[in-house]
Parts: sequence; structure tokens; C-alpha cells
Amino acid sequence: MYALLSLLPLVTASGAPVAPAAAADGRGLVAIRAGTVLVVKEGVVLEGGATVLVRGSKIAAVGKDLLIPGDATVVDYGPDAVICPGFVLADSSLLSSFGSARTAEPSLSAVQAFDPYARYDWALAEGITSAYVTPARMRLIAGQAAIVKLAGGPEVERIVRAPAAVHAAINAEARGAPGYWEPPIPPTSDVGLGVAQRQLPRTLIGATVALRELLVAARGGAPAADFGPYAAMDLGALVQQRVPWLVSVSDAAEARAALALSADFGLNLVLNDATFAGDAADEIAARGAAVVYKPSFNPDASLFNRGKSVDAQWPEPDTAARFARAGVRLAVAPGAGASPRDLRFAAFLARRGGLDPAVALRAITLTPAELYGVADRVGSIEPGKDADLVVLSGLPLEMGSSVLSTWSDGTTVWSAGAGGADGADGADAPLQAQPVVIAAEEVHLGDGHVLRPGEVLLQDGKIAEIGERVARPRGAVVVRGAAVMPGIVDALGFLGLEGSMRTVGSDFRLSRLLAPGDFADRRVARAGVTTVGLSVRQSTPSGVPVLSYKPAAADFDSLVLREPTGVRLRWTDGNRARSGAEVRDLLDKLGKYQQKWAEYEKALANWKPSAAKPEEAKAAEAKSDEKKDGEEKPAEEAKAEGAGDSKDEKAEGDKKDEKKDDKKKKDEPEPADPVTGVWEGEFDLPAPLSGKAKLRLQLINEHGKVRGSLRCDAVSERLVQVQGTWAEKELRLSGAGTQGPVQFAAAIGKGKMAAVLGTGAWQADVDTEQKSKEYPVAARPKPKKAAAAEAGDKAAPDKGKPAPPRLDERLEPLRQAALGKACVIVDVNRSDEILACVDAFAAAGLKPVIYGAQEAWKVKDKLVGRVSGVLLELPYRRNDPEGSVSFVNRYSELQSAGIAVAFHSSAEEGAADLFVRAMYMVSQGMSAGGALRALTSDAARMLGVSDRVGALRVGLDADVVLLDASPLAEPARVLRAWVNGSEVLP
Amino acid sequence: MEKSTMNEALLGVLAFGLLCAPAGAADTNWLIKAKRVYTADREPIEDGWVQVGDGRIRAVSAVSPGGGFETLEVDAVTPGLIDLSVRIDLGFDSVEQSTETPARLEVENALDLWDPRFERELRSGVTSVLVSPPDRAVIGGWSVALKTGGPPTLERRRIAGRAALRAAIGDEPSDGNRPAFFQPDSFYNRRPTTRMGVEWVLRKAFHDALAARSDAARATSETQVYEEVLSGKAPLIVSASTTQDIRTACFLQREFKLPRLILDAAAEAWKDPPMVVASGASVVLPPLTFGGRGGNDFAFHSWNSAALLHERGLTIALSGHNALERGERLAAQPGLAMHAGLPFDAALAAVTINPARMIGIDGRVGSIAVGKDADLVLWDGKPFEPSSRIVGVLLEGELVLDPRTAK
Amino acid sequence: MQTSPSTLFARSVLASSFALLTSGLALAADKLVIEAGRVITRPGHEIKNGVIVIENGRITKVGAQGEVDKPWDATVIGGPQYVAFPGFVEAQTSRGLDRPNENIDVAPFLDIRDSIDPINFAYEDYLRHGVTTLNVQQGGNCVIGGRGMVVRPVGMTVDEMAVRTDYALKLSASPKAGKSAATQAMALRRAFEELRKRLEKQVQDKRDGKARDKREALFQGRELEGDKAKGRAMEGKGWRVDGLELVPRGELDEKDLQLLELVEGKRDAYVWCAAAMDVRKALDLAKENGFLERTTLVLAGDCWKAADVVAASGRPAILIPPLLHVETEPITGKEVETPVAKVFAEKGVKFAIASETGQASSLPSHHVLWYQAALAIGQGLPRERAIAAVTTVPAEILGLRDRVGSLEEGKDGNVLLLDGEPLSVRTHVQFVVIEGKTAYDRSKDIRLKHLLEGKEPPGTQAGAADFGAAGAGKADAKKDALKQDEAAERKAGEEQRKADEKQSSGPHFSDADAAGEERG
Repeated sequence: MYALLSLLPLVTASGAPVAPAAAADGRGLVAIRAGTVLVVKEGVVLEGGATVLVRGSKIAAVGKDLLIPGDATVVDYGPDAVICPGFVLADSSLLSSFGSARTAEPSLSAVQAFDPYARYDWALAEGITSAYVTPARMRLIAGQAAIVKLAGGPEVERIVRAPAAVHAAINAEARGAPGYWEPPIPPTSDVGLGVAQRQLPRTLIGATVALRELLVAARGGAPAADFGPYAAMDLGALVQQRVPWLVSVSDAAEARAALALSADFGLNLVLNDATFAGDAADEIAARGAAVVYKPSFNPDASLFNRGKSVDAQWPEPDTAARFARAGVRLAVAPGAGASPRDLRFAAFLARRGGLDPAVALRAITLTPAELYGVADRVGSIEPGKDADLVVLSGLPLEMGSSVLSTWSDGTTVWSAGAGGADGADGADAPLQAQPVVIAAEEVHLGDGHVLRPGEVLLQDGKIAEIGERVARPRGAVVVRGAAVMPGIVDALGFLGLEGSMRTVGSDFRLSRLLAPGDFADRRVARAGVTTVGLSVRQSTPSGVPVLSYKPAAADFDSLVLREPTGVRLRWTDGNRARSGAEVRDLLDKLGKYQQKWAEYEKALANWKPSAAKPEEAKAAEAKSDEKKDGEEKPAEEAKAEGAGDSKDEKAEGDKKDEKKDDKKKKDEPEPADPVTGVWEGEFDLPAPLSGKAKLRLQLINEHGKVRGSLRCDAVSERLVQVQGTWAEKELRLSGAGTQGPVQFAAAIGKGKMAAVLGTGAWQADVDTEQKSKEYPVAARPKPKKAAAAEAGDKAAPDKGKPAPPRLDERLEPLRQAALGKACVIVDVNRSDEILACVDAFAAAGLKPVIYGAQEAWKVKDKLVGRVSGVLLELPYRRNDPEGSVSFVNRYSELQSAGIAVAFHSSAEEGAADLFVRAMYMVSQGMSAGGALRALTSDAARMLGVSDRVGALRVGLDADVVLLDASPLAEPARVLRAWVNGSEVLP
Repeated sequence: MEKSTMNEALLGVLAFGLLCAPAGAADTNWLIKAKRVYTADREPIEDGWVQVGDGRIRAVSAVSPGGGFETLEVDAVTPGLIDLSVRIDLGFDSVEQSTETPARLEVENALDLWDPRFERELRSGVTSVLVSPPDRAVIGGWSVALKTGGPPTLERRRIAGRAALRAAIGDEPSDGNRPAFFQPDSFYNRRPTTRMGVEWVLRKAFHDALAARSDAARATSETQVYEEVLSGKAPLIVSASTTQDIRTACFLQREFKLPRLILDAAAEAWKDPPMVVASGASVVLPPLTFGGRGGNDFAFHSWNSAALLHERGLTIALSGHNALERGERLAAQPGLAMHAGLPFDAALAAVTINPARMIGIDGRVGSIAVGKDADLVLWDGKPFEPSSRIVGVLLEGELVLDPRTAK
Repeated sequence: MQTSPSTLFARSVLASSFALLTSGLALAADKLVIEAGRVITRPGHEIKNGVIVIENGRITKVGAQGEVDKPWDATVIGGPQYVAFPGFVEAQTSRGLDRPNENIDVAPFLDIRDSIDPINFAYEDYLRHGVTTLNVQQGGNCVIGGRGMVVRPVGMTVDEMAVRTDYALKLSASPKAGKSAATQAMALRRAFEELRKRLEKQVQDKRDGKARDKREALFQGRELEGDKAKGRAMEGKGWRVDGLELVPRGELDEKDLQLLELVEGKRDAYVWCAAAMDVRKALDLAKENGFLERTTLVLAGDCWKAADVVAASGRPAILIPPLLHVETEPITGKEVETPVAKVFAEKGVKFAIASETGQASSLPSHHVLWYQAALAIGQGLPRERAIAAVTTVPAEILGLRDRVGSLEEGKDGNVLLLDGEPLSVRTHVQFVVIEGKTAYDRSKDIRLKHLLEGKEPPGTQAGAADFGAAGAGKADAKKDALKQDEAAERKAGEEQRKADEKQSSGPHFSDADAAGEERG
């Protein structure tokens, strides 16, 4: 089935382009499959899954339902991919355009200048497998062109045809020949110092005259002495072989001149360029000449003025269409200045004015092949021809579809995702999964909102974009389906525990039990459950660990979301009187523990940061660690240290003592200027948005005038250039982000900045800390991954920083929970105990997740806002108090009361059925939207991992599920699932 | 990991309740058996063993320390090589030209860690480098000591952030500056335009720093930087090729009592060794060739300058200036120095422990000693002979060049 | 570590060199006996305690001590501490030329001998590094360059240096400056087409008697003599011009003679290929014009990619440094290094290693023959192949198989006396014997002091001189001031060296210094 195999060939491509083993040896059979195959010949299009059968370097067969021999290697690009013939560059400047001194040099051969050992990956990356190469340009007759392969067989076989054409010109290009001069040879004195002789042509008329003379001479007529002893002779041979003439013309006049020549001498004429020659379309057709049309555009140069005079030339967008309508055989190539890799875009431009896409595609494949007489080998997908194929993510001439893979002579010569072609990026990065675009009628964001229709872009393991139509990065695979939703989160399960009933302490690292790539785990993931809140079966009053992990993760790094994710405690005790006693003790301990941290935070606040050497800092840390070996360091000491630091700053310099020097600050801030430098902070996004956002400022203060840059993804995808003022301790900045204006006001003190960040839509409070007092020197922008990598490591501790209290493995999760960074799950069922428990935790500033919660419905209104959620023990429906036969769905009951509920499996592989359970709940009167929230975002929020998973939001992990119908509302089925951006395969 | 073993793991862990080594750490555990282990700071060991675990050297001994790690057998092992004078930067992007003394700046902020030249160094045995700002400014700023491999983030590769302050004498810093006629019309109409101008800027910098000691009002964040050099916390590495430049550097040292002076690219240091000896400076020599002359200012770098300086008891380091050709790279320099009479041990030290000590990173690298980073170079013959091959390179225990496949 | 020579050995070095002083190496010792602890006759063949007897410049006997009888009147040099090794052979170089190329596309009539400057330091450097035979050729910046010449790096005149004059032609399959690959290829083809045309025309003129008056004009009645007077049918595997026998060779344009010899297969050709794409072009050209059997490919850059093509042609090659080719993989952006020599060895190509890049720099950087060979070993080339690539193979390529490249009876007496294992950085060439005459003695190498300590003879190496000489001058002045200091230093140095000797067999520059000052 397509879905399963679709990404395989791309995934196997690593580093250099790879070929299927069978094809590599040149004899094996390869069956290349895709949703659509464009044969090009007679415009045949095979849709709904077709196969190209390749034997060795040739195409053996092509068709919709071919019988694939057993010994064939199958390479399947999936239902969305499109296969078409390798593109043919109808004209190119691949070779040096450096010509002979002569104005006409017919014997100059492109074959001699073509380097078969060079690599043309940049062209292969655009699907170009064959190219027309000319030995020179800027001459009346530059020489003999050839058609060459840009990859594939050994060097000699790279030449498809030579000579393929006479490369001539009568437009401005022909007028570049210098005066001709041959250096005299010293030993014979009778040769004087020669004078450079003028060479034709300098005008159109000169060009035509020169060509006539040469052709006459070539036919054995009057010799054309001006062009050297060889020109006419060499030309004669070519004329006899009826080699086509590629003559560069710009406008109709030049086109007519060329046509006249070909009429008189019976040339096999191909007009080159012809950008402005639309008016001559009919005459060209009448003469049976062909055209290599070059639309006028140059992406790499600034737009030039065409002039205001009446005879200024303006390109007409419909020129190609006019040629086609007139019945001219039409090839298309990138214009002068444009890079050959823009071939497809050139064809796209040529379509303007109503050119049929099929004709446009033919114009970069079969037609050029025919013009140069190589149609027997390339240009279309026919048995017997070379197996030169391009695999694209969509139709070749459709905006945004990109090349996935390129085949030449039956082997893969380029594959998207085979390392970033931009060296630096590809260098150290592991092979990245393809960017994936998922297009669906419904995109369920997980927070209740739905896009109809919509697309999601998965890139670098994250959700990169969501919208009606998202970007199509190079090599992106487009996948279509009915509905998309976030990966399902099993709020509490035992997947991976293997039936063990043992229980462990809350400081035990559950991740040590897990191994990536487990088969059962992947099955669960393919059922849509991409995140599991794992705990051991038996909870204890002292707590057991909770770990959120991704069953489908391919490696250890992406396996665990956060460890510990939280802690699970048992409140209920066999002896009711003792219920909750131990938990209360724990909470007391927590209180003390939290206090230590509070003091530490305070010390940290007083202490002034600095740009110190990290390893000194490490040393400092090491020291402080030794000091508070055994029992924790009292808060006073921490304070003292902080104070001590500030003292040392004043007594700068004189101190010879090493210890003190260690503490010494590197950069005193200029008292005048506390603004300049790098500031960083993190803040909660205000409603309607949710989650956290990072803020980074680079500021430089010039006498009160402040300028610099602000980076905050919530405000702008791009860096925001800000400027403003710094006056009486108040900083005001403004700039334009990609989502409208950005306002920033702040008060500064002691390397900290309390600020308000505002956009048109919202504003938020931000606390930032000064990371450096230097406005960074112009550094080369690093690749994206780099930035990410460093952002990860930003927390290099500074010298003299007060050391944090020692971590208590058992209490830390609870503390984190209090900070909202972890979850606390409490097993408790009876209503009174539930209340007692909630109170106890509230005192510690905690909002627990109630697990079990049999009687939660009784006290639901007392729980609103005091629990972060409820995980219901079965049964999930209860009898109506009226004792009738009707039931109440406890999930919807609580949810409608404003208490978050989530689905959990309390099972191992059983987690796979979570989706069905949710469906059932909907059938039992729960809202589809609510059920989806419970499956995804609410569950994620309860586990405290909503900053990573549980919703479709830009920046979150690319855990996405593709369904064949609207989830929960219809009998939907999970088709495919992606975790961290790569598909979950069996 | 199989399910069953996972289960055992669970039970095992529960039984002992201790934390076992993190999974996936195995590939940094090696046992290296070499006919000769060149420790660089102690006597070489015949038929010695080096045990590498978790990125560090765990044991160095004449008998197998066991440990059940995979064994790599080679002819010789030396410490990873150290080059204090690589020229890997972003050219003028990494030097602030708005001032002659952008001393506060750190070149590490203007580095491209993806630069293939780093990997080239690593391949050819250089595991640590000192990257300095280009010598376009008189005091270019702080150099950074980096590992040449590992995750491409500063935090992971940095050995020492402000390893040395970079200064330059000679005509490079004044290059491009020119006097103004009538009125200044260009950014380059400024001091210094001559060697004396360069020296003047240099002296002024340290002079101000001294003044700031007594008069706090004159202290600036820039004088703070010089203070670190004056107090000997960080070395000053001065690029000086010709005799006169080296002399200038030595005069500076004498005037300001610079405790730690490093002369870089000091091709002509051999012409007046006593002065260098007197200054207590250590010397980084530019690449040696068979031809001699070359490099900055056509300085004459005689074959045996390494030997001459070593004989006079100077601490020397050799450098490769990240040459493309193998015969010129750092790994070849000790050979060329030996060709002109430098003893092997001195040559070895000159590319390992000496440079490490010069910039004070010998706590982590520079020799094969227990506890140091496992940066090692494995040879299939006598080290530094052009005819012997570097078959293996370990960077913090990770095998970046594998002797088993290099064969 | 190496076996450290005891002071006794050291003394015997001096002894032998003083012996030479008295006997005077100037006198043409037509009988020379060389004794060595090891005699490496050719790659892989070695004689312990060997003796080489050279008479009238040729090796008459090679064997172990005692097995060969030494002429009583022969000068004896060497000693047990030495390793005797055949002189290195440089297969082609442009060093020692003022300019490597003339600015004419096709100039086979030029002769390199007019360019060679015997006192150029390049030859001294070659000697110092043990090269005894070198093939001086034009650089690669030509279409068809002039004739080369094989020389020995001794002698004050070109004739003294000459080993083989009027030697091979240099051709370039790679674009000359100002040409494209295509125009270069065309120019090469044209050169031979035109030759053919001119020959045909001369035959034609001869046939219809036009030649007569022209000849009169040329020779003013003087008659040609000897071979010049005779015509000879054209030979050659490529193409022929019928009836050339009608034209006395003396009447042919002298500008055409060398090219004609090439086509007739009577002259060697060295074809420069800067890139892999040029290799096939070079071979095709040679084949079409019948000099394939006389062709040697000079390969640089990425030519290793065409190793198969070279192997198939069966022609020998000369590898130009750098022998480690570095290029960037376009997709990953990583640098890829290829050990060129190893690749060719595995493809079974017969190749020599050259030391010079074609840029004709007179200063050896690290481009020194033995050093390049050593590097090749370091890149995985078997030691025997590497040594052969700088001795026997180039000898074969130069057609001097029976004269140089190894130490065998009947061959030229070109012998190196090394103080250690060949191709090691610890080893130095102590003596070079060329055709039975001691051409180099390290203990008397004045300019070695220049290379070691910058004490250069004034007025050498323009440009460099300003700085260097001045700098050196200053340094000397300073030295006078610090004489005692220096003396003390030197003493300390002595101690240091004594200590060093324990662990290293490093050479004794101090002795050289001392000797130098005695003379000075």
C-alpha cells in the first residue's frame, strides 16, 4: 500500500545520492511507482497509480497496471508523487562562454570543453538530466554544440549527440568578436608585428552578410577570406550533415532575417531566445522553423529599465502562447542571466497567455529532444529510451511542487533530503526527515478550533506552519486526506511496563525501562496515540514517577518528553483515618524545600550577572558544591556571597589574590549605559493565545537613542528592527513585526528589565535578564539548527552566581508542579477525601490531577479551578440519581461543569483503543469537540507537556494524525501518523 | 533493547536501586594498545595501554587495565595536537575596525563552527585550536580556545573563552590606513599608518590601564581587559614576525612587566634569542618550509629556528596555519623541525603540552594523563615522519577517525 | 627511536671529510670506492656492509665488503654509519627557468637549454636533497612547448650539466592562459593539421618544380650535405604525407622538424593534464598523430578520476603535488581527501612522483622530491612503489633505464650517502656522488648555513634581500655586543646538544657552524 511505503526511498537516501542495489549493477529490474506518470509522448497521462519499469539503464515498460516481475526492486514514491521525463535544457551556458578570437569558428567543439567528471547536482536537483552545451558565445558562429547527460554512465557515454547544432547568432550576441590578431613568431624576423583586423559583424545587416558569405563559401562558392582559412571548410562539412542551426535572435526583425537565410540555404533552423519575436510567429511557423523561447526574467539581477523611446522593446507575456497558437515547434529555456536551474520556472512563465501546460512541459522535455535529434534517447517515458526520470511532489509546472528525486540511466542521481545541499547545514546535521505538507478538508487544532480546509507543514520535527495553504519547501511531500488532528495523548497508561506489578520510588527514572523502536509501541502510535503518560500500576502515598514519552520515537533523544513529567500519589489509605497523612507530610517537606529555592531566587536576583568564562563558573560551582556537601547551604551564606560579589566589584584591580580574582567581574557596565547589550526573557502568552514565548533583545544605546533588534516568535516570524529612546530609567521601543506593529516599554535596574510587550492584538508582561553588555559584533548568521542548538545551551552559568540548593529527587517533581512545569496525579475516589486532598494541595500551591475520582461529580462545583483535571476510573457512566434507566456520562458531566477531563488507557497496548473510546463517549452525548480536547490538548495540559504536544500549533512537536473522515463526528479511521515530523512506519 | 531484558533491567534496578550508566555511552569507551605511548609530559611508555571512558582518559599503564572495552591496536599514540595559530575566522567580519583596539570583543562571537577547515584540522590530528581575531586591529580582542570537533555549538566546543588577548605588530594592523590630505575623506584616514604608530597604540593601551589602577576615574571596560593581561590572568599573544617587531614586543614586556607574553608567527625570533629569553616570552613559530623565507613581511624563517630556540631553553610551539596540503599541516611541522635538529621529545611537546601550557588549558588537554580529555592521535608508524600515517583520531573519546577502517 | 651514532662515528665523519679536503674532491677521481653500512641498490634490494666501485664514472662493482676487491689507487669515502642509495630522479620540472613558458601557442622550435641558468639555486637545492638527474621541461602554460633537456645538477655551463639534449616536447591538453578548453583543443588539432598542409605543399611544390627557386633564395647556391641532402619517406602510426622522400630533410622548414619527429614517433612527448577531463583528449591527440607510444602524461589536480582511462592506455604518468587531492562534496559540503598516488597504484598505472607544481618556483617549499615520496607512503602507497616512483620509474620514463635510478654494475655512478633511513626527516644527504665525482659534501655546504640561520651571501634572492639581509645585519651587529653572552649561550647549547644526542640522532649543525667560521 502506498501510504506505508511512500517515504521509504527518500529515507534510505543518505549523504550522497543512492541507487537501488538492483539498479546499481546495471542489469537489475526496478519498478518505480507513483500516483501519476506524465509520459509526455502524445500528452499521455497515467493517473491513480502507475509504474515505470526500468531494466539496467533503459526504460522497459510504463503503464497503469503493469505486471511487476518478482525479481524487481520496487521503489514507491506514493500516491501524491508525479513522475515525468528528465528535463532537457534547450540552451545553456554550462561551459565557459570564452570564444575563439575568430568571429566564425565552426570547428570549435563543445565536446572538448565538457567536463564529464564534474558534478552537476544543482541541475539534477531541478530534474535536469540532459543539456545543450555550446563551446562559446558572443560570436557569429560560436562552434558546434552538443547534447550531454549531466549524470549517469561513464564519461564517454555522457555525450548523447555531437555535433547537435551549429551555435550561431545574428543578434547583439554576435557582435562581441574582438579584432583578430595573431602573435608573430620571434625566430623569423620577416614577420612584422601584425595589426588587429576588424571582424564582422557590428550590425544586423553585417551579420546576415557575413553568414551569407560563409554559407556560399561553404558550398564551394567564392571563398570567405575574412574569416580565416578554416571557417568555410569546416562549415561545409556541417552543412552537408544537415546539422540544425541554433540562431540567436531577439526581435521579429532579426527572426525574419534568419528565416530569409534559412530559406535561401535550406537550413534546418531553430530560433534561439526570440524573447521579443512574437510578431513573427506566423512567418516562423510558415517556414517550419522551431523556437527555443526564453522568457525575460533574471532572478539574480536587479530589474533593468527598458527605456522610454518608442522602439524600446517590451516583452509580451503571451509570446510563447502566440508561437504555440501559430503552430511553431516550441522549446523553452531560462533567459540570459537566469540560472539553468530556473528551467521549470521559465516553463511556468511561458504558460502565461494561455499556453497549455502539456505543451509547456513538452517544451522542456520532448520538443528540445526532437529539435536536436536525440528524441530516440531522452525526452519522454517510452520503452527503449534512457531511464531519465524526475519525481516531483506535484505536477511539474504547478507552483510549489518540488523535485523529490532524479533518475539518470536507471539510477538515482539525486534525492531530496540527502543532506542539505548548503554544505554548512548538511555538514553535521543528521539526515532530516522530508518536510511534509498535509492538506485536509478539516484541520482540528486540538483546542476546539477547526480549519476548513487547511494545511499543516511539518519540518525539522516541528509544526512549521498552519493555514489554508502553507509553504512548499524544497523536497516537501504533499499528503492529502479528509481530516488532521494532533497526536492522541494517553493521559495515564502502562505502555512498556510489561505487566510488571512492581512499584518504585518517585525518583526512579522510568526512561530506563524504555527502548525506542519497539514494535508494539509503534503499533500504538500508528493507531494515533503519539504520547503516553507512563506510570507504574500501583501508586504509593510517597509517590511514584510519571513519565511522558513518545512510543513511536526512533531514538532515545526524542523518546522522552520530560523526565520526570510528574509524580503520582495515593491519598486513600486502607485505614481511612490515615488517608492522606503521608501525603500531608510530603507536602510539609515540600514547603521547606520550596522556601530554600525562594531564598536562592532572591540571592540570584540581587546578584548582578556578567559575561564570565564558563569554566571558571563551573569551577565556582564545584567549589560551592564541596562547601555544602552533606547538609544544604544556609540561605544567609548564599546572600553573603551575593553581597561579597558586589563588594569585590568596587575593590577592582588591586587584589592580587587568585580566589578574589575568580569572583572579579569581567565587564564593569559603563554607568551611563545600562541598556546596551543582549537581553533575554520568557513569558506566558496572554489569552486567547497560550503557552510560553521567548524574547531576545539586542540593543545599543547612543546617548539616549536606542536601536537594535527584537526576536519573539509570538510577535514576528522575522527579526524585528526596533528603535526608540532611553530617558529617565525608562526604555521605549517600537518596530514593525510581520504581524503588525510592536511596542515595547520597560524599566531597567541591575541587569534586569521589567517590560510590557504589546502588539495590535494583545500585550504581555515580560521580565528579561541581561545576558551580555556587548552589542554583538557582526557575525555571520548561523544555520537554523545552529541557533536552535545554542538556544538549548544558553544557560551557561556565570561566575560567582549563588549556587542553587541541592536537588531533592522526590520533592523536585512537586516543586516543578507548583511552578506549573510538572503534574501531580493523586489517586482518590471518595468525595470527602477528594475535597480534603484538593485543600491540602491548594495550601501547597498545587492543582492536582484527580485520578479515580469516582465521586468527583458530587463535588464538581467545588473542584472547578482547583484541580488541573480529572482522570475518571471506570465505569465512565453512572446511574441517574433518579434511579431511572437513563445514564449520565460522567466525562461530559464534568467537562460541562468546567473541569478538564482526559482519556487514559490504564493499559499497555490497549492504549491503541483510546480513539474508539472517545468515539463512544461522543455517542454517549459528549461533544465531539470536547472529546477531541480530552484526547489531545487537555490531556497534554494535565501532564504539563502542552508546550510540546497536544495541539496543532506552530512550534509544537510535529505529532500529527491523518484520518479518512472527520474525527469522532464520523466513523473515522487513522490512515497515517507522524511523530516528530517523520512518519510512523510498521 | 529486547522486552525481556527490559524487564530484567527493571527488576535489577529495583533490587539495587542504583543508577546505571546512561545507555548509548558505550561508543566513548576504548582501550588503546600502542607499541609506544607518547605521554608528552612524562616518559613514553613501551607497549603501553591507554584506557578511555566517557570522554576522558581513565588509565595509562604498561599493563592492560582491562575493563572489557574494545581494543584499538596501533604503533603509536600521541596526545591530540594543539595549534595556537590557526587562521580560521570570517576575515574582516570577525574584526571590529571602528577602533584600533576593540579589545573587549571576543572573536568567538564571529565564528562559523561549520567551517570545513575545523574538520580538516581534526582529520589531520589537531583536536584543539586557539582562534584569534584577524590582525587587522592592533589589539584585536579575545582569542578563544576551541575543540575542532563535537557538537557545533560554542558551549560544547569551547575550552577557554578568553584564552588570550590578541595583539599585532608589523604592517598588517596599519594596512589600509593612510594620512588624510586637506580634509579626511575616508574612514582609513587615521593612525596608525606606520610600525611606530602601531607600537604607539599598543603602548598607550597598557599605559592607560596602569593609570587606571591608581585613578579609578580612568578605568573603562577596556582598561579592565588590559588589567587581566597585566595581572597575568590571561596571556597576551602578539603576532610579530620580523626581528624589529619581536623586539618591539619584548620592549613592551619589559616596560609593562607583562607576566605572560606569547610571540606568534615569530619567524625571526632565532635572530636575537637572548632578548626573547630575557622577556620570558614563549614562541609560536609559523609553518616551516625547506625554502625558509615567506610569511608575513618576508620574514626569514630558518630551518632550524625551532632547534635554536629550544637549545636556549625557550618554550616553543609549532603551528600549521591550517594549510590545505598535508605536507604543510601541523602534523608535519614537528618532522620538518626535527629535520633541522630539534629532538623528538621537544618536537612532540611543541605541538601538544607546550601550547596547552601557554594558554593555560593543560588542565584538560596537551598530554596523555589520567583525567584529561581523551583527545588522542593514533599513528601507524613513528609520529611526525611524513611516511607514517594518522590512522585514528579520538576527540573526547569519540572516534572521529577510525583505525579499523582507515587501514 | 633511531640508533644513535656514538661520538666515534661522529669523529669518523670529520675524518673522512678532512680526508676529502686533503685529497681534494676537485681532482677527477676516476676511481672511487664507496663504503656503506647499508647499500640499497634498488627498491627492496639491500646489501649489508656494501661496497660500490666506480670507475670512469660508471659503477663497475657492487657487493658486500670482502666480496669485491677495491682498486688500490681508488679514493675511498663513506663508512659503516652511512646508507648508500641511488640518486633520486626528477621526472620533469620547470624549476631553474627564468620563465616556464614562452608566449607563443605553438613553439616546438624553442629549446629549454637556452633558458637554463646553471647557477640558479634550484639546482643547488636539488643536489642538497639528493636529486642527481632531472628532466627540465617547459611549464604547462602552452599549446605545444619547446624541447626539454635532461641534466645533472652540477656544472657551471649547460653543456657540463647536460645528460640528454634536444629531448622531449611539452604539450598541454589543458587550456593555456587566455584559452578555453575548447579553443585549446582546437589549437592542438590545428597545429598538426597545419604541419600536414605545409608538408603536403612542399611535396607538391617539389613535384611541379616550384621548390627550386625557393631553395636558391634560401641557400644561395650552397648545396645541402649529408642527411640534410637526402629525402626520407615519412614514418609514423598516425598519418603520413606521401612523397615526402622527394624533399631533402634539409629543405624542410626548421620550425616543422620537431613536430614532424613527434608524428614520426621519433621524439618523446610530455602532455600536461590539469584536470581529469583533459586526459582522454591528451591520449586521443597522441593516438591520432602517432606519438602515443612516446607519450608520458603529466597529471595534476583531479586527474585521479580518470585513472581508469590512464590505466587502459598503458602509458606512464608523472604525478604532480599535492598528492592529496582535496575537494568539497557538493551535497554534504564536506571536504573529501583522495590519496592520488594510492589510487593510481591500485589501478596499476606506472607512475613517477614529481616535486614541482609547474609554477616553476625556485624556492622549494615542502615540494621536495624525497619528502613528496614520503608523504605518498603516509597516504597508503607501498614503500617500494614510492621509492621506485622517484628512482627507477622516472629513469625508465626518461629512457635512462640503463644509466640511472639504481645502483647496478654498468650504470652511472650516481650515489647518495645518507646518515639514516631513506625518506625520513631525521636523515640527511651527507654526500652526493655523480658519475664518480663527489658533487656534494654536507660538511662543506656553505649555503646550508643560509637556509639554517639566514646568513645569506649578499645580493641573492632579490626582494627577499632587503628585509632578510638587513635583518641579518642588525642581528650580527647585536651579536658583537652580546659576544660573551653568546659564548655562554653556545656553551650551554653544547651541553644541551650532548644531552639531546642521547635520544636523537639529529645532525650537528654546530660542527657545520664551526667549520663555516673557520673558513670565514
